[in-house]
Parts: sequence; structure tokens; C-alpha cells
Amino acid sequence: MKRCWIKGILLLFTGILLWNGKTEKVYAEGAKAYFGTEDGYTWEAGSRSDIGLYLESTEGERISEVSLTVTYDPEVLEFNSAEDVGITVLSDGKFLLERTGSWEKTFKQILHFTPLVSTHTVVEISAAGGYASSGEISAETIARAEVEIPVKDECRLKNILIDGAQIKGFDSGKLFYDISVTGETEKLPVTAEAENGLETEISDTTLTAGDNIVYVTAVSSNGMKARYTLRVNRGMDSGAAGSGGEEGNAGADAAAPAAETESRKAADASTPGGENAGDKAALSGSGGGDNAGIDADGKSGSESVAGVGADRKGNSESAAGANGGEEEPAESATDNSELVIKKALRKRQLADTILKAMLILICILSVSEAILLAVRFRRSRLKKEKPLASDRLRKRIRSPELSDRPPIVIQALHVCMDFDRAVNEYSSIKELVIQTIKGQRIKEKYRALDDISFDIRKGSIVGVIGTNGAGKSTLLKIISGTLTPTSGIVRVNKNKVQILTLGTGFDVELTGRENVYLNGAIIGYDREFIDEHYEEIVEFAELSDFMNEKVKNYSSGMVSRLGFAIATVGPPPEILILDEVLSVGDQLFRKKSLRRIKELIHGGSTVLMVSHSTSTIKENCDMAIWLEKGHLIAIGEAGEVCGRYDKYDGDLERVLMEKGKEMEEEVLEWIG
Amino acid sequence: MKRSGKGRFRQYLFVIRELTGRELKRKYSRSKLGVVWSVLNPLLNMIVLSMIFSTMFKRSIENFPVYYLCGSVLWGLFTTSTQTAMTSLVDNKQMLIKVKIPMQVFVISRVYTAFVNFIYSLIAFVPILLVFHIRLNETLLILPFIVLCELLFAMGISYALSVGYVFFGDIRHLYGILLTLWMYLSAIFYPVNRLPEVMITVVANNPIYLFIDSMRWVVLENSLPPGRTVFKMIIWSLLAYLAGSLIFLKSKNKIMQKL
Repeated sequence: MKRCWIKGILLLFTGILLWNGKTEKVYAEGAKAYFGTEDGYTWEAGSRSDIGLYLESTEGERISEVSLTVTYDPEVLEFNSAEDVGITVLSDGKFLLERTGSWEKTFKQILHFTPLVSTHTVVEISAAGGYASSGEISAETIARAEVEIPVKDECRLKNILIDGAQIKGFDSGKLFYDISVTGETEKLPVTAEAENGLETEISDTTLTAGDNIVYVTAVSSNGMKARYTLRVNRGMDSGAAGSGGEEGNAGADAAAPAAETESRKAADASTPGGENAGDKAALSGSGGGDNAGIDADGKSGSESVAGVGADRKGNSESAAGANGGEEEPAESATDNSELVIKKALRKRQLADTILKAMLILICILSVSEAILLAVRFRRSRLKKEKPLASDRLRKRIRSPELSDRPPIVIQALHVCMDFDRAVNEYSSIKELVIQTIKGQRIKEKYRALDDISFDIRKGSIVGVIGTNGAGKSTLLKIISGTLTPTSGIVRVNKNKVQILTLGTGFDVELTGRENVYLNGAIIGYDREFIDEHYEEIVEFAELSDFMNEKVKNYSSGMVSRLGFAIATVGPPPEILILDEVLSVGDQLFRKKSLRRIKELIHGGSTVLMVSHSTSTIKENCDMAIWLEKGHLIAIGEAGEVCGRYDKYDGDLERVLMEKGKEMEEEVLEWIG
Repeated sequence: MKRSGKGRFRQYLFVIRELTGRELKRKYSRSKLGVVWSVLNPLLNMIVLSMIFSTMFKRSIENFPVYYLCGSVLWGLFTTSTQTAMTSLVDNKQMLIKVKIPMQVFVISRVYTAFVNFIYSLIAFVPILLVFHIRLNETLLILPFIVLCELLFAMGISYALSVGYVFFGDIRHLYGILLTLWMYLSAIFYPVNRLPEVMITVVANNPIYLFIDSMRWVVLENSLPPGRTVFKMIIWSLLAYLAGSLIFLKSKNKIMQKL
């Protein structure tokens, strides 16, 4: 008991220690989000266009849950994907895509948009995260897909002019231009030339320092729109022209390596040139070829930009068409923000999980230990209290002059046992339901034992008699502890009770030998005991030639002999209950078994036996209890009770009346 | 016979072992191959299902045979334990009435039998892992924990079912149908992500699927199952075990009366 406590406390302590030691959470970062191009989606104003959205772990793990935030320009694109793919619209132009339970290595979702305007626009993943096998992953990336919706023929502008001059690289099908102006230009002097019937709108042309966006929109008579975007970089007031951000389309027609060397040369050459160009707007158009490259890269004067530009050219060789009307793979944008999982991080997480598992295990263990302790504690307390309660009762009921007789080992006090019995017995749910609905399920209390009280003293041999259904088996079950009485107390040390029954737990598919072990185990023998007494059992049952035979080939006599042998091999128990044991086997074996029983009885046991044969009871018992339909009819000297039982003709009323009279007389005698 | 607490516990273990031995011997008493069937059964099933489905799910499942085997052995453990344990009280009626060992022993022994069977069926993994060149690493150590959780879960369900079966025999048939439904919800031979969204949520919260999925993490991915899965798994098994034992204890007396 004490050791149990110490163990429990130790376990709890380790649990708490582990709990405190491990509270921090480890996140793995390593996901890649991007837009796909594999099927070469085409975009067209006014009809549904698709774009693929991808998320994958950089370690190639499976992803279970994803959550992605996507933003787009609601003025240009109308989002059409159904909401049942896990999309929640957060605000106009922003939605959240959440998914659970898919375990693919690459998460893929096609998004549907309807472009409203032919223009250049951007769809962006602004946050991406998920759950992979190593734990949480997140890509703090901004993956961008630059989308150009090709201009419809009826919306094409003839020309866009700045200060009367055509912007560099103008093409009526190209929608995005990069322009640099000097710091003094406060308003962009832009005009548009269009064919008849095509209206043009120009957005606010006021410029601030840095990047500005100016839209030139053409609206055709049938309502189609095309929006040309000018990204205007207004330089510093010092006069230096701003740098035009180079876009990937730049070198569409230039071979990549050539472009790289050329742009580097240009960077050197154009540095002085940039100063000269102070008073005039320096225009740079992307896609215009070598000159554009000179302007853009030259003014920013940075090697790395040139490098990126060159990279882009390599990438876009295949992707960018002459019109520049296709979307760009945005992978290059994600390259920067891609985070690789560090091995160490993963190892740490693994250790963390193992620790967690251990912790949980320890918690479970300690909780179960605690429960076990509590149960034991309660039980031990109950054990202490119980005899006290019944002692008090006994003192009240029993007169003190009898106390010199041997101690009472079984005491039943006003024991009642009720069974619920439905009037119509049901054996299936269907019947139960029907009966409940019809209101037929009237429960009837069936009283199997009615106010039974008796004492059995140590060393006595008591027979229980009664017709079928008198409650004999119920009484035995209550004494042995398999049933708890509805009311009343049975005072007996249940651990000392042993029931002797025959043929319980025999399995016909097993051999005799195997059955000896199985049956023995159920009766309560341990392995060593059975090993020791195996020969004895076989000998007694006279079955030494049949032990390796299956029991299904035994005769019924053989089965009961084996059963008896197993049941009686043990040391004499303090209280022995024999349930119809003495009516088995042939004449010879019955005698033999009777001898065995007598041996047990003389070994000092208190015996309680049930039998239909009054002669057996008369011969062997010194006391008898007669039960009839749950009533205790008579208790007393075996011969006398058996004599009355033999005369019983089934008239319960009369017998009960007799009993009543007897008791009356007894009481009168006692008083007077 | 007088016994201390410890001795009694040992005795129960002995009874469980003997009962389990009986169940096993009985199960295979009429077959020539005997216990080999425990290994052959999942293996042959796997071959049949692989022939049918592995091309179908080629894209989404890499190692279909292993994928299936993980599911089927754990599913087998659950179904055999619950289905056999369900009838355990009624089957052992005679013993229960006359002999005073706790009734739980009979339920436990049936679950334990299923567990022994499961251990045999794990042998089926050996050739498969060799053929498909699958390597295992230290994450395998969590497998016993997964199985323990499943056993607890099965035990809880078994307790409840065995009590139910005492009162209504129909439960056996109803449970058979329920098991069919349950099997299809456990993603044993198909990839989960093929399901519609709602079903994925259902499957992801299905305790059996959690066990299967955890085992797949360990065997196929060589990594520990995600913490959320483990957490759900533990909660499910503890809840089921506690609820089952409570039902069992509450109706103990009624069972004796009914029997």
C-alpha cells in the first residue's frame, strides 16, 4: 500500500517535471506557394478564366491542411469560384481558402475569375500556411501572378502620346508600360488617340515622387473596356531620372545571355547619358528591346537588378508571347521567401513529440494508479465498516446466551431479491420498441426471495431444498456474491466461498487436458497448482487414456467425472457450496464422489448443498433450509425439515399458514 | 481460497490467458493451417484489393499494398475484438453465473485474443516491406502507443456492446451494418482526398481512421503523426474506455439477473 503511494507520487512528479520542461512550440517553416501555368490558361475579357494555385512543402512532405489568403483587383476581376471548395470571402478583392484532410504532396486548387477589363493586373497570395507531417509549415511569401488580359480588337487604342510623342515600344495589344519622367513633371502630359466610336478616359495624372500608376481606359460602344497601365516613375527633384522597374517581358525577343552582357555594357555607358536627359521626359518602354534595357538597368546602376533581369529573360523565353498577353510564372518571386526546413528543427520536433507521448503515457499511468488507490482505499474502509453494521444488527436480533456456540459464518438478514420481469418478455429491439409504443411494457416485480433470514455456523452442513423455482439458485448466487440482494444484508466473507459446479467452462473443441487448465483457471487455481495436481485429477476421473482427445468425443458421464475431479482437487475451502453435485455419473462414481465430498466436509468446511433428493440431505446434513416460491418455509434439523418437505403437496398457502401459526406459538411461549 | 490483491490479479491474468488460448485454438481447430491464417488472411486480402484498386488510385497513393495493409490490420483488430467481445457474456453464461470471477475478464480475453491475432498479422508486413523497399526508422517506437490507444478504444466499445447484447440480441446484426458503414468511413483502401469536403471532415474525426492514419504516417512517411491526430486519438480512446467501463459497471447486476 505504502509503496503504491510512493510510486504514484513519483509518477506524478515526473509528469509535472516533463510538463514544465516542454512548453515551447516548434514551428517548421518550409512551404512554397505559387501559381501554376502548366496548362497554359488563356485569359479573355468577359469569359471565365482559370488560374491554378499551388502549395507544396519544400521537403516534399504531404500536406494535410492549408490556409491561403489571395488578393486580386476587384475592379478588374470578378471571382467566380464556388464557396464550397473552402473559400471564405474576407472583403472585396480578398478571400481565404481553407482545406483540411487532403494528404497530397502538392495542394492544388483552380480558381475561376471573369476579367471585366482587358488590362494588366496582379493576383497575389498574401499569406500561406498549412500542416505537414513535420508540423506546421508556412510560406511567408507573396507569390504574384501577373496577368494580362488581351485586348479585344474593338478596344484597341491607336496611340498613346506623352507630350505629343508616342511612348516607347507602343503596341496596341500591349497593356503595360514603364515610363520614367524627371522630377519636375508634376502632371503627366498624356493623351490618347483612338478610332471613332472608342471613348478614352485617363485617370488622375498627378504624379508624386517614386512610382505612380496612370490608367488609360478605352471603352468601346458595346461596353468592352481595355485599360492600359502606365507605371510612371517620377525621379527626385535633383534631376536624376527615376529608374524604370524592369519587367520580365523585357527581353522577349533577345537571347538571354546576350541580353545580360548587353545590359551590363549599357549600364556603364548610360550613366552620363542619364544626367543629360534631365529636362526631357525619358521614356522607357518595356518589350522594346535593347534600348529599354539600357534605360532601365543603366539608371538603377545596380548589378543585382541586371542579374535578375537576365534570369527573367531566361525564364520567360518560353512563356512570354509577342503580345505579352500571357500570365507569368511567379515562381521567381517566391524564390526569395522560400524557407528551407532545417534538419535540426525537425529533430527537435521529433524529440518533442516523443516526449509528449511519454508525458501522456505517464499521465495516464498516474491517473489510473490514483484511481486504483482510491478504489482500494474505499474498499478497505468498507471492509472495516461492514462487520460493525451487521454486528449491531446481530446484537439486536440475537440473544446473547447463544454466543458460546461456534461463530456464524453466513448470516442472511431479511434478504429480498426482486427481478424485473416484463409481462411480455422481449428479446429484440423491435419488440421492445413496439411494446413501449403500445404501452404494453408493464414491468412486473417478481420476487425471487422474500425476507429470508438465517444463520449458518462454522462447521455445519446445511442442505437447501425446494421445488423448481423456489429460489435456491438465487440464494446461492447471493451468498457467493454474484448477485447483490435488492434489500437486506448477507454477511459472509466472499473470498472464502467456493462454489462447486460441474461442467462449467468446458469447451468441446478442446482436449481434456486443455480443459483441465481452462476450467481450473476459472475455478481459481493457478498454473502451478494445476501442474502439481494434474495427475491426481486424471486419476480420479479415470480418464488417463482420453486426456488428449477432444471433449466433444467424451460421453456425458466422462465430462461430469472430469468436472467433478477438477472441482474437488483443491484444498478444502472454508465455505463450500455444492450445486447439484452429488447427482452425477454412474453408481460407482457417485459413491466415490460422495466419499470425496465427505472428506472435504471433514476437512473443516462449512457446506451448503442444494439437492432435489431429500435422502442425500438427510444422510449428509445436520441442518436444512426449505425454500418455496421465495419464502423460507422451514429451517431446522435436517431430518425434520426433510420429513415435512416430503409431505408437501404443492399447497403453498397451507404451508405458509402453518408457519405463521408456529411463529405465533413461539412468540407466545417467549412472552409468557 | 485466500488470496491477496496481487495474487488475485495474477489469477485473472492466468484466466485471461487460458481463455485466450481457448479462443485461438477454437478459432483454428478445424483448419489445417491454423494460426497461419492470421498472417495469410490480411496478405491475401491485400493482394486481391491491390489488383483491383492499385491502378485506380495510382496517382494519389504511392504504395497501395502497404497503404491498404496498414488500414486492414488495424481495422481487423477493431472489428474482431468488438464483434467477438460483444457475445462474450452470453457465450460464457454458464461460467458467469456459477463462478465468481469479474465479468470483465471474459470481455478482456476476447479483445486480447484479437490482439494476439493482430500480432500474428503484423508478420504479413515483413515480406511486403521487403518487396517494396520500405525503410522504417525510430518513429516506429510510437506504434505500440497507437495500438494501445486502439485497444483501449476497442475495449470501451466492447464493454458497451457486450452489455447491450445481453439485453437485445438484435445488436449483433445492427452492429454488423454499422461496421460496414464505419469501414467505408475509415479510408482503408481509398485515398481520403477523393472524398467530398463534408466526408473528409467526418473521416478525419473517425477514431479508427485516426489510428490507421497514424500508422501510415509511421510506416509510409517515417514521421510521427501530427500532434492534432495524436491528441484526438487519445481523447477518443479514453472517452470510449471510460464510457464503456461505466456502462458495464452500472449494469453489472442487471446482467446477472437477465442471464
